[in-house]
Amino acid sequence: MNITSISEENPSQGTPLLTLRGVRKSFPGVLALDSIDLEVCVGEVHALLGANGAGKSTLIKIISGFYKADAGELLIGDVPIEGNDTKGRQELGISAIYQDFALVPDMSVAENLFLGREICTPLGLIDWKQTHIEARRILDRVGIDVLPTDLVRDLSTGQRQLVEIAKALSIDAKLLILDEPTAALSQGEAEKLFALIHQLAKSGVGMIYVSHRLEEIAPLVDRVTILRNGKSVGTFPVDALDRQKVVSLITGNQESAKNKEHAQRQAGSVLLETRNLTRRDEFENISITARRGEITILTGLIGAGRTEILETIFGARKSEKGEIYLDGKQVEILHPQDAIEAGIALIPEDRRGQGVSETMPIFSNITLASLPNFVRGLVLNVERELVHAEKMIDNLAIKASHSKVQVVNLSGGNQQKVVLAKWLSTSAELYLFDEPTQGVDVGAKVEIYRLINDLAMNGKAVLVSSSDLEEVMEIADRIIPLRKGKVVGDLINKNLKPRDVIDFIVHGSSS
Amino acid sequence: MENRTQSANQNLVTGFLSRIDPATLGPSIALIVMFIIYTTLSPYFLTPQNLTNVLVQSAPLLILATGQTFALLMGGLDLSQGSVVSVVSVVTAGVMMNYGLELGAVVGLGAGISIGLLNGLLVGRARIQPFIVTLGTLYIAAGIAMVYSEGSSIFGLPEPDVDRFFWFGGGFIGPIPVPVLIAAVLTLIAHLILSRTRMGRHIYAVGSNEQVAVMSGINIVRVKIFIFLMSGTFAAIGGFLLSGRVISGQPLLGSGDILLQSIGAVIIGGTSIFGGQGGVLRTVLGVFVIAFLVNGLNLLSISTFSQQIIVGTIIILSVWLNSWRRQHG
Repeated sequence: MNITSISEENPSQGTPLLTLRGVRKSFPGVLALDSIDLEVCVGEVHALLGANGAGKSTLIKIISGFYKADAGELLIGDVPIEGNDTKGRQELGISAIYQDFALVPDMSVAENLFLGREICTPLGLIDWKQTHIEARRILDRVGIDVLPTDLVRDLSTGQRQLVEIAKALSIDAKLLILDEPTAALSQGEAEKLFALIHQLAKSGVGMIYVSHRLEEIAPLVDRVTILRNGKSVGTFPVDALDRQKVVSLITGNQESAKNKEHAQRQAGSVLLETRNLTRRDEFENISITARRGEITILTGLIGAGRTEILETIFGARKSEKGEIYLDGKQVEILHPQDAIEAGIALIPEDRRGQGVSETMPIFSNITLASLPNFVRGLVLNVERELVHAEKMIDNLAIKASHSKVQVVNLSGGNQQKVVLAKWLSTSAELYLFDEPTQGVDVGAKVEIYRLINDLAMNGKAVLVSSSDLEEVMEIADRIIPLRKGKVVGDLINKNLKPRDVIDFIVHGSSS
Repeated sequence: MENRTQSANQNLVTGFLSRIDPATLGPSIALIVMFIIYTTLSPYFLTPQNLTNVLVQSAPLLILATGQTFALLMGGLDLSQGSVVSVVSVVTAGVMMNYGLELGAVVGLGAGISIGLLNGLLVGRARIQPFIVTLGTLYIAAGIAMVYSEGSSIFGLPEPDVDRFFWFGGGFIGPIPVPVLIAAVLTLIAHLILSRTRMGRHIYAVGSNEQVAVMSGINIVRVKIFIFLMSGTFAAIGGFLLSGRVISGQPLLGSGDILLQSIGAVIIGGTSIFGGQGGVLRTVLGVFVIAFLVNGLNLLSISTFSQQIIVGTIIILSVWLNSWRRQHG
């Protein structure tokens, strides 16, 4: 190995742990990565930033051996590695921790830690005593407060994340790949994770930290590589970047996320009104309105009942009590079908679970909720569907070579756009958005805000659920704070301070 | 402007390529290889008479497999198809005995279709797994066939209805065998339903992601009932043709290979067992692979026991090939 001295103060000048040269990867109809160079050194925290669809996920899947690169070199230390073999990579010390965790929920923490490499007695039975002692030791190393016998199902998201990291470390990971690790963590949990990352880096573990937001992790990071459209924009020392620069590098100088038409809109008539909507243990006596030409935001903490309310309006859940009125007329919505016929669209939070049909091509995803528009008699007019889909692909700048590409081949951000295209095709009057920018990068955020804004400008009623306060303040005309399933206010977003909204969602009233 | 023409050209090329279903590559190659081998080894293989024979013999299988395709597209299975064949056979023959072909056909097919409807209601309304439901109705329908016929075949169907009955399974219109014509028409109808109607699209959506289908306003209960109604109806028609060919009611007519061949053909054709991907045209190829494979092996006088080993191997190979193709683009 080509050993140079490892400097304690500046680990990024240490020994390369991982080197990528000219890596390329394409999927049917999509060039995901093109000539990517990347170097991660011993003890370095290397941030990987980029918009949705920039190729971050593909890149880390190539590094962790999930995919095979079409071209280019991958070296661990100075040994070239080929092929796709996740197990082999783990043996070489590369561990990836993904957003969707690879833990088995119905097994205990200890069982998960030793899954596939169980500690056995000489008779070949599992040595539970030793397993639990070892598990305790591993858990202590990351400083997490759970018992080896706890079921993973009962852990919080943050705890699961730490268990995953503990597991990776216990198989002697030299390079950890963290994919948006704080996406689902509370503030406290995130701070704990950052402390752990810092400590690991000092002990020589190299890390690739995939994120949308540099501000959050800047103090931890040594170098930053930014991807855009499958190409590397460059690698920078973290000190050389500021927020403005990062945004422009990620988006390629799109305009920033400012909602300019905000003031020009005129709120119209009340389209949606709910009266005393109630579902036990979820929400109670919800009476809210949404006007045409206005963006109304339901905000609140997790468990405030936002998703549940939207799904009830959409007919995916049944209310036990209360009524829904559209344009002043009471409507009975028992099924999403009824909602769609009444002119309601719901863009769900859980994209893969409720948004896209991955094995279907883009065009039939886009037309799935508006098929009646493409039928003559009994027969579907597929040609018209294709024309429509191509138009939507252009309008929303969905990155795909043609509309028959299977959605599974698209990146997360482009899949989200397919979901948007699907609901824009329904010509609904009321749009419900559930956490529209959850896990979405700066660039896509701008586009989604613009889209929501356009809908309101065109006289649609828009009801958004969001827990992102910055987003709420940015796009809302009216804010409805929720707390524990109850409406605790109805605020006009004018001269409002974030502090005021927080008071409502935390305490239930303004101070 | 230049960009636009370039991308238009690209669209033409990719448009043409996307017209060829890459999943059909494996079974097509298998068929071509088989034709070459069989033609060199047996002088009888590539004769009009033999080819017609294969088509006539595989017509009922094609009909069943086409129905089965619907079940696999939703990520399910219809294990009751074989028993439906048996029920249709004995009920048609039994009723025909006293009341003639017309009523026999109506009651016999009706019995088979009702089993499909029952499957659909249990899968759609009661939300039970298709595997469990159809495993149950496999037994129930097989039992009904035995009970109805008291365990023995129903022979001696009355003249002249018996000749008309045979016409469906073995007759000709000009040079075209009737069962082949029926199978072709049914396959075409199924293909059009899947590719050109809302219901067809809904079937793919349910198979691809049921939750998304619900959230897109699709009535998934109706879709599931329709799927098993199709599978049952096609099995019933297949059973009718088979019975006509043997001009009798056989309580064990569908208890042999035909169910597993029906599932095997869909899989060999390249329809995914996880649902959402595939189609009837692929199934046609799958049926041809099985039919010509068996026919050729027969001509080469290879025993049916050895044939089973080969068919099993082909089923596994084809799925393996398909997943390999998907991973390596």
